[in-house]
Amino acid sequence: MSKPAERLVISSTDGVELALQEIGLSTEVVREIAIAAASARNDALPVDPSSAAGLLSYIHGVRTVRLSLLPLGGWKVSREKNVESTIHHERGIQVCFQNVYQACGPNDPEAISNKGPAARELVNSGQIGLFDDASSATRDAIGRAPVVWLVCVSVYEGMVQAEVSCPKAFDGGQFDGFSKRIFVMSEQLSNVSRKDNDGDDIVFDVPVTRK
Amino acid sequence: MFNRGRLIIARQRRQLSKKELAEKAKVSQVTLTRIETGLTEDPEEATISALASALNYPVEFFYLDDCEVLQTESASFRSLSSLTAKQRDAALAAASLAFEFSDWVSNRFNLPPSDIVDLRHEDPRAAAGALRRCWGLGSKPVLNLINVLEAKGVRVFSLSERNKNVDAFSCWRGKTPFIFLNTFKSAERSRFDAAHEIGHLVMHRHGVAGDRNLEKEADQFAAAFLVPPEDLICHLPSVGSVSQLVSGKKRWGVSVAALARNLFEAGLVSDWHYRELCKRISALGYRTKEPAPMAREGSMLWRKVFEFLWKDRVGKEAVAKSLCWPTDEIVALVGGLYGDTNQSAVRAERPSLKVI
Repeated sequence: MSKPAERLVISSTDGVELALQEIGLSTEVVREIAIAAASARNDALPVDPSSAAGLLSYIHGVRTVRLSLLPLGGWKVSREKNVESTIHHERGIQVCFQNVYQACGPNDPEAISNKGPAARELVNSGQIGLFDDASSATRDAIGRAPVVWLVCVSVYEGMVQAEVSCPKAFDGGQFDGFSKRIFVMSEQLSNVSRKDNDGDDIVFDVPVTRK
Repeated sequence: MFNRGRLIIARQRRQLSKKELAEKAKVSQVTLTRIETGLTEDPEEATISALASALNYPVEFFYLDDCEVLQTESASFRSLSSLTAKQRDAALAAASLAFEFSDWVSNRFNLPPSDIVDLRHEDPRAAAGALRRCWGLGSKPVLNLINVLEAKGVRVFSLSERNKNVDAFSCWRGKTPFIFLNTFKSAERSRFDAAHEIGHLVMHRHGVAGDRNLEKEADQFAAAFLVPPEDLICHLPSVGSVSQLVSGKKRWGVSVAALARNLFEAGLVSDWHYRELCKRISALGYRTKEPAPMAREGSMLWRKVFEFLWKDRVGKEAVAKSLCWPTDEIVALVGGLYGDTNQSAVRAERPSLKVI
């Protein structure tokens, strides 16, 4: 587990909304991404490859990021060096989806799958300013590499947590610190598989509040 | 002003003919007919009082605004032919009261909005899969179907009709879907009925009530929704005996007979084997008495509503009084789904004791 590094953590409702707006996101969009990724795990069958739940979650996470951002204008799909992201050149922002062990926790989020050299380069080029190493496809007209933001989602026993965080660099296959972490959601989701009975049932909550 | 429509609703709820009510209230049948048809617009107080007493309804009920009446063609009755007119009218009148109760609750609480998608052009099995994906269910079993429906904005009520002729029915009221379940049946059957009604809500919003093809489609939808074929293949790829069905049915919360049918539809048992299983299920009496019965599903929505109300010292009697209803109608509509209403009401009505 990564140790907490020096970074800014934003968790107040107003602060989160404002910080997300700066990178072209919103609480609603991130929540939608997290729910889609978490719910997709339920599509995995026992006969599927053992990585199916995580893979389905990743596919739906990436898909929902793009389906949410592309209609907003300015966002484009990027697959540079097989790193799936959604990029906004004018804003200089690149958004990736990432399944993590725990989002919104005291420790920095840790990717469930180790990151390869292309992802490391992507982060390093945007965050540390290694402009010479950044690939041309992700650079803007004047050669700046976009800042990479990760929509980090974790699911554990029905608790879905999501944060949008800006990694500083890599240490091997994992992130090595974050400059900013925006804690977006931490909810006991109704429609996410929980360890009830055989660990395979879907339990729903019914939200009722006073007017 | 006396409201004759409400007299009809109350009489239908009690499943009384005009003749039976007239005899019970000791008024002439002609008088009652004149009141119900509107020929007597302003009946005598003593007559109304006698009718109210015979119906066990508060007199105030008959002086409220019009009840919203659900027409037979607007409700999806599963077996309309086996229903008597009395049973059908009582069920429809229950819907009128449910609408009033739903409005009363909605004025005080924020309830989940409807999330029922329109899948009218889909094949029933494809529609079941599509709705599962839309609701994030994947291919996993659903522990409590009533909770799923409530979370997706369906208002679920019970039909305490004490007979098996009314299976269940559903209807739309504006943008809000309603499902009425007969809690007299086994928990497994009631669950299938609920899934059957979801099928009507998503596929047959503008369908014709009682159409056999639509009923068959809703059955196919229910089977695929409760027991996704891919999950069935993973967890019960082969079945040799009924005892295997009895232990296997727990996963999906369906009856032994329904599970056997699902296995046949999924091609996991042959035609011959399916018929043998059916014969065995009948011989063991499992069609009338479900083996290893599951616990009846309860309503989370009504439980939460009554828990909130109880914090304000409001029990079901107080709710009934506010609506000018007899208390038993509240019990009939939600009591079968929320077993604690009696208890909370007793607590609410009991004066508190102080130790001095």
